[in-house]
Amino acid sequence: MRVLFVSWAWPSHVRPLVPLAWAFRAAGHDVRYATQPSQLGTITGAGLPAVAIGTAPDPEEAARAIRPLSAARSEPKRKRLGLSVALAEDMAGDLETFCREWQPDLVLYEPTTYAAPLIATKLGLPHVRVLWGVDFHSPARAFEQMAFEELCAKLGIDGFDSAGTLTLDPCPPSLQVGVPGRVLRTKYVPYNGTGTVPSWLWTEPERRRVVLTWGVSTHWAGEDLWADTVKRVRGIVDAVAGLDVELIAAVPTAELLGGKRLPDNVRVVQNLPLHVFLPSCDALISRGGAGSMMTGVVSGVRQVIVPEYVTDIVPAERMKATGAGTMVPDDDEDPAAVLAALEYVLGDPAVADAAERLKAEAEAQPGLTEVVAELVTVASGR
Amino acid sequence: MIACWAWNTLYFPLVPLTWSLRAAGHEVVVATQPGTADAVRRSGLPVAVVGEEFDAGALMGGFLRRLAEEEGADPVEWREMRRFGPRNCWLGVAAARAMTGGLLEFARAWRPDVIVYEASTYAGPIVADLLGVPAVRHTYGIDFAGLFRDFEADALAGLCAEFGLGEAKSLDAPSIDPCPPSVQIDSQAARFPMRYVPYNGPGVLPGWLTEPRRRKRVCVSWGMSSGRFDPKLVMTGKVVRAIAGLDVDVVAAVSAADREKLGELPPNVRVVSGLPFHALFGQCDLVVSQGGLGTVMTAVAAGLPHLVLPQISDTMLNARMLKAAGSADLLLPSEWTDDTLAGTAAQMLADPAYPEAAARLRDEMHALPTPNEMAGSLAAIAG
Repeated sequence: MRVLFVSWAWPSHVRPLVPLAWAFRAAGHDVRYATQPSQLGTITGAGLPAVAIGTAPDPEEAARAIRPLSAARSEPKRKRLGLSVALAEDMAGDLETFCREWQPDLVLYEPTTYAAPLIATKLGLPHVRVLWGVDFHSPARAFEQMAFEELCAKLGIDGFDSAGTLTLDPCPPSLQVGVPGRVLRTKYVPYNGTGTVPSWLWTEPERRRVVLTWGVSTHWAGEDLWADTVKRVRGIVDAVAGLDVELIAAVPTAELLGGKRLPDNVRVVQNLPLHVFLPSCDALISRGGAGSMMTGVVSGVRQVIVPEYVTDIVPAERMKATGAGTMVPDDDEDPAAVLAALEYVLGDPAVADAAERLKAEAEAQPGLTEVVAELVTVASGR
Repeated sequence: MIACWAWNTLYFPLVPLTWSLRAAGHEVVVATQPGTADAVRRSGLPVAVVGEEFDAGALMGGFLRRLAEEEGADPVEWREMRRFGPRNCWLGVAAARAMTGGLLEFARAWRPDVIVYEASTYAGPIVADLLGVPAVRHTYGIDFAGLFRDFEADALAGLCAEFGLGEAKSLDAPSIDPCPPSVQIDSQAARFPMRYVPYNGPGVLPGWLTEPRRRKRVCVSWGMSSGRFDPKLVMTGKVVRAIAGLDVDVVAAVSAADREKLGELPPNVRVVSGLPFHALFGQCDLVVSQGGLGTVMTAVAAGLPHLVLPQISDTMLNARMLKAAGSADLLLPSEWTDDTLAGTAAQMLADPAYPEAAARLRDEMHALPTPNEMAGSLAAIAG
């Protein structure tokens, strides 16, 4: 079978589809992964065959679309789905051409790559939406038909359903919100890039290990906010380092930690995938991005969520509801609030139990190798 | 834990099963020497770099030059190689000497539940026995290393003794075997045949690959290994010019470094670098190559007829097996003239028996359990 994966060019959107693409390859299917030119390296970096479609997302527009809560509160509201529409317009033409030539039997896409369900609808191809974790995207369905009215007309289709022929859901049920449409559950298999297992991971940690990650998206989220982000992240590092723990600061660049000398119990880790070292840790502090949170879930760590973007709030609330973690109120920017939350998750054995339960629940879902067979059936229209 | 010594094309056949293990939800690490760490990262998998630098290219190049002086330019038939006894295992033993200590140190810390080792990565079974962990051997296709398994215990006795191991029982581990049984060597060892899923590295695929082709298309390649043994072994330019005289389009697949060495080329030749063969071979009618394991098995997976030009014993084995199955023909170095190269290629393109045999072999391969299924039964195989 010919299987096409599609994502627009942003690493945290491209990566969640990678393990499923591997599973299709390893089942002997012919796989292509299409994205805009700037992220072809993320796909080839995962060992997969890449195809270029569209031009490139306008980085300024992309950065504006993911404003931190602190900035978003004081800014005027933007047009809903504006970036998604622009990306779909950029990708749709090339995607249609490629689909007509290569004739995929199945199209899989991450939730914000609307070009995929649009073109698949136009060409009558089975298409499967692949969630990253907690489904905070589906509420946007209420606005989709209006936002994409023009593009639908241009493509000559009456409408489309972003939930696809089927939605693949890697989130354990107790963490998930209601997901529309036909849903197939799977295990979450983390992929946050690749790297070399460092020698410090070859030995048992001497103290409890806590990870602070601020994800990779922050890196591009507008230069005007950089100084604020550095101040915030460094504040959390200094507060947490006062505890008797080994703190791992997992950052895309050490500049995010500011220039001052770091406390001795802080280890800076750059560009090492979370899934490689998180299983050796006790707790994770993150802004609640899907890659961080879900890797935390399958690693069985306790979680402190510090929401940074409006899309982080629902996942943070869901994490709190499972008991496997807690969230810092989104308007409390005092590092002491993060420290208090961390002391709570490290101190209460009920949180550790809940994290183990959540991990077990995630592990009980069907592996991607099994899901491939189901999806082949879907693609054959049976 | 997946163990492989530092040779990229020995690592590639391990990738699909390793992806399957990851996709099934297992924690996976690939342990290899420094020279192949990049290739592991490029496949999207986490790597533990163990042992010392190991320059197999230089060692192998010296070995082949000495062999050519003693035996002539045509390769020694694989059956005759047995007369060299345990010395057949020399390269794997040298790799194990540079790798076993580091692999043991890492494995003690990481505590794998099972070790999957590339067929000639002897550090794998040694470490498995030292830790008391089950091991599974993984072949790379037609099992050249498997011809010499009865010599391995002797060849490794010294190294095992250094680690306080009487004998490495896991040298006799069952093999996961991505090779259609009809072209595999005979052996008494337990094999679990698996569908070969080609992985030849990643790449960005060009638009012309999805366009309909107007003429027959022939791919010419000299693989990724020969040039590292000895640049003089690489005959791509000569072969391309001979084949390009036919009414065909030629795709010359070369490393980026070898592009300039090709010299002046006719207009019906397209030169590509870093284009994965699994995406290219489906769009070709014939491949002409040195017959390395990756090219051979990828051609089988695509049902593509193959003209093999073997220079060493393992590619000779590959050529003989495919010829017996009817999907390939071969020419020895002493037969390589422009006329024989073009003539044999033309005859293969005209004779439907070759694509029919290649399709049968492909179908046999595609009927085997996939890496995804093999990942599910790994625990049972490991015992």
